Amino acid sequence: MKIEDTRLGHAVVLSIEGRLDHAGAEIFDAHVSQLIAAGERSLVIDFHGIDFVASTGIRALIKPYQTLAQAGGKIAVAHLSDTVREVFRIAGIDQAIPVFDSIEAAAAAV
Amino acid sequence: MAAIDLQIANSIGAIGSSNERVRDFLGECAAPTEAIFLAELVIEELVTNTIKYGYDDDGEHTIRVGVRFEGGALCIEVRDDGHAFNPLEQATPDFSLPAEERPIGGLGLHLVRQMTDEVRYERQNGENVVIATKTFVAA
Repeated sequence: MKIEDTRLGHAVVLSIEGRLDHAGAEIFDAHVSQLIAAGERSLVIDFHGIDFVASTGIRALIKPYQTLAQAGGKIAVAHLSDTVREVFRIAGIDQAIPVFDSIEAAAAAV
Repeated sequence: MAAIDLQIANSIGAIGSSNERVRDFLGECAAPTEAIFLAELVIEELVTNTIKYGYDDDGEHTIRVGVRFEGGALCIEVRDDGHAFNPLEQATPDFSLPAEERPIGGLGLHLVRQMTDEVRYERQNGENVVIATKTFVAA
């Protein structure tokens, strides 16, 4: 799992690359927790480089969603592949975390 | 029939390299990317579950995984010697609750059941045997 942060307006865009499996979710969780602890409240996760998501990856997204919701922040995702989008739908996480086709639209929503 | 059999040690770190071999095998079979994704998901979820919750001791165990692909039909068999556990008897996550209030346990098995055509469970000679199948129709 490789993560690169860039800033777009008030949002931090995390471009993640690799697999959101057990190992990837641990790296993602540590990275996002650090950003939130540093005061970031608007996060966009760019899934362009992600071709695999398991339930551990979904949990790693629910955690910052809950933390940010309590802190008045927001999280959104963009660029999901068809299969990853299907996992989001079946897991029901797309009801909580908005899914966008572009980073710009996601950044405007957080 | 094209098939691969794998033996996975009961350590979470062992799943990644096994899934690499499954990816390579299904790639050689010219399986669609959806089939490769699903095979990896089923293995990741079922084997992780077994490693985390399936054993009553701290000893070494081997989880055996068989993957077959023929005529668009994917079949994954996961066999472990953990205590009896029927994944089909596990409660489905409560989707009537908002996502932030929903307990997230059981999500992996829910994904496996929803994304496959069929999941079967048998207890055979002291082993749990889970067989998941899905047929992919060429576009």
